[in-house]
Amino acid sequence: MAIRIVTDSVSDLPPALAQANDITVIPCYVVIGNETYKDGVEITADRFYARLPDLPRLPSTSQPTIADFQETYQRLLDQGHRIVSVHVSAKLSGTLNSATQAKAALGDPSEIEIIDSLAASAQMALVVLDAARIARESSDHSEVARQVRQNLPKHHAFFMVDTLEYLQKGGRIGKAQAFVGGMLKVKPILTVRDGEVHPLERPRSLERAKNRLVELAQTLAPIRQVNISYSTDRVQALGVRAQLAELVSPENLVESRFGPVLGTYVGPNALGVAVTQGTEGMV
Amino acid sequence: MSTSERELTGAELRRAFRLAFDRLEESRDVVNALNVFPVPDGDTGTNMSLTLRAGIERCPDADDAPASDVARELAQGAFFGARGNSGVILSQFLKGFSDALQDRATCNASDLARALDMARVAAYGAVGSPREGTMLTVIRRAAEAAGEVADTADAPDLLATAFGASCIALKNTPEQLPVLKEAGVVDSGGLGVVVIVGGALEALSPSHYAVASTEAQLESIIDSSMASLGDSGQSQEQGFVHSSLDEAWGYCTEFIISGSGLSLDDVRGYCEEMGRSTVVVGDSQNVRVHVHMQDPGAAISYGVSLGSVSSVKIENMDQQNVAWAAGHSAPAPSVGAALTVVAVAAGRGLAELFMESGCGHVIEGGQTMNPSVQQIMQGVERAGAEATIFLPNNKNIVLTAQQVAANDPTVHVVPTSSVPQGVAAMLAYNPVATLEENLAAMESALPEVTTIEITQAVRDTSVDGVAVSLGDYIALLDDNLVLTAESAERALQRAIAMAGVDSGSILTIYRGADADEGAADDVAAALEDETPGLQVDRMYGGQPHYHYLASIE
Repeated sequence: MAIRIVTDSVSDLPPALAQANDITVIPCYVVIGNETYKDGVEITADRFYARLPDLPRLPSTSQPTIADFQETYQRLLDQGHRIVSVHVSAKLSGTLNSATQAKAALGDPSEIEIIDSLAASAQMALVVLDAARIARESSDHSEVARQVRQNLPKHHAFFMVDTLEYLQKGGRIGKAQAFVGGMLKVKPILTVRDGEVHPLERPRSLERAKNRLVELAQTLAPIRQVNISYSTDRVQALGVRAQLAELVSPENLVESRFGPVLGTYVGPNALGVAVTQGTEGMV
Repeated sequence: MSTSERELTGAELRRAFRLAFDRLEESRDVVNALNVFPVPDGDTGTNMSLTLRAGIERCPDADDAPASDVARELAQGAFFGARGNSGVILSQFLKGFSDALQDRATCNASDLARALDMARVAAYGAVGSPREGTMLTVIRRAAEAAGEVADTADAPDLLATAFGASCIALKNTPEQLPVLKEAGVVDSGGLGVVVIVGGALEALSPSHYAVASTEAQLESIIDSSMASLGDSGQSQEQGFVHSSLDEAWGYCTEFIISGSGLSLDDVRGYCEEMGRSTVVVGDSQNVRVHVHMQDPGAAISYGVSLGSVSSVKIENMDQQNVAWAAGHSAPAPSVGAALTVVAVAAGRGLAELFMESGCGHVIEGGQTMNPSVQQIMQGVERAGAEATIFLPNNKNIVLTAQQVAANDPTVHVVPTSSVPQGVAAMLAYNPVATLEENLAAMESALPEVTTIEITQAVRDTSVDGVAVSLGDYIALLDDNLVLTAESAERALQRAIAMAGVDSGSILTIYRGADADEGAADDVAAALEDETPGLQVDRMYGGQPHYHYLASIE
């Protein structure tokens, strides 16, 4: 009997980290043409990005079903665990709603705490890892949930996209709509604020955008977790990673990848940096 | 102060400024010609004349209007009509002048002296860092001289003294400003001031004016400047590059009449009677005509009656106006927003670029047409947001914009002095950030940009040691003339080389209305080959007169 962390695949949590922390990842769905795939299970990021440029229509995505959640929750409850379930921002997806309904269908057991991470992808993964760390030191899952929620303002993300087209067509552009258009080539840098995509800056080149991602992360120091994420260009991600490596110890430096669901919205050549403010070793 | 002295009535004051305006209007081409920089820009004479005209048009013309009302309305009109730096300085001069006469039904010599002194203070206050050897110096000397005789002279004597001092100050301007000395001319705005003071004096007392102008040798001061400018002093191009400032009405009609014994006055008279926006320049053999006519055929026929007609160009201004108005009839996207940006830009491509980057409204204008205070206010109003960040995008519009901001606390100027600076500021703009965050981000973007402008010289001159002939392609690097070349593309290429680019640079080239599509392809390709990692972005700007604008960031 222990506290178990549940999340969804929008966290883009690397499988090794999920396994090491006993985190259950419920896959979302990505719909390509008439086919529906379980994110990260039935379609890999490599396969997804390879197909993306040639698709006649952009893919779409779908949240896990209530049944998906019910099944996971029931299994963990049967094993005697209590659950802290951390999900993608309700402003970006209906996933949280599925989780809530699944919990209700189970009779609203007090053993389940559901948290809106107000984030997605790299930033959300940091929230999930934070939850896992807190859970290791606590036996009260409600207290874990309280601390996770309290820490939410400490997690930040900045990401650069090659084009805003995917976010716009996918209906997830939020306030970054303001950066759509313009005849000059820019690499928009966006952030997630209050669970929604916000525009931040419009650097004119990839080099400058990368430098700004690094600077934006550095201005938030001290930092206790870093997560570098990319969609297709790992070389660029490694460059950013190298520049931020000195901010945290290696075990707190995560490298992840925008999976198929995220890729539907950020497209190829996207690059992101997420950080958690704080001092390593302290809660 | 002599108590027996006759007091000037409001009507007399109005007549004085009216004649000052008429004289300025007559001297407009000469004042414009003294603009030493050989680039097509909003000229001093035109800007001062339009500013004063806006003041005169607002003046009450009742015979019993008090002096205070005349001065106040004149200043108000000039304020709203102020264009370009010289226009703004003039409007502030008039503001100071009117403040001094606030409660005066009539004014005497000592009132005039006080008014000139307050005008001087206000004029200096209009500019952040006043430079001597400009119209400010001429204003200052006139005011100081008037102050010295305020207790003893009557109004005409006082103005004659001020006028004499202004002429001497004008003559000395080349000693104070090296750029004037190199070109061998006096300051253009300074001449504008001399003409205005002279006109006012002439209205009060033609005999005083005759004596004073002879004594000051004004003619010879002007003649020697014009001689330095050589053949291009009365550049025939000049009037024409400003045609974009014109009223869009009827058909814009341009042609050259060649013959013998042609009278500029006669041709000008005909055009002024028949049309609008008249510009007639030339000599007895060649007269170049620019006029807006409802029937362009009539103007051509008139020309044929005087000699042979060539280089005919006719454009339907109404149509252009309709097309432009149609595109602007939709409500601005920023109406009701908390914050927006309004920018000045000339050319369709640039206007679209600013709109697409998030501007609420773009005011048509720029190098050759400096918008007035009123036009900027209208643009801000049209954008309709609670707060407005304004981008002048031209160094000669910055001061006008600051006038607007000084009177409207919702307007905030980011002093962009070129289009590329404006684009950089615009890309630093984030509509969801606060006003303060945006002002800081946009202002910090300005020093990152090097601006290159390619145009054709509108006169012969020498600037910073570079000899320029009319029609040469010239390159300006951050507003300094650096070179001349045989083609616009060559000028662009050399200016970029001079500015220097490296692998991290971003070069943006905005093609003007006068440059051929694809003409700069080779320049861009060669640069990309030579400098790996250099990013070259090209787009259509459509700006008039400037074949290319470019920025290096």
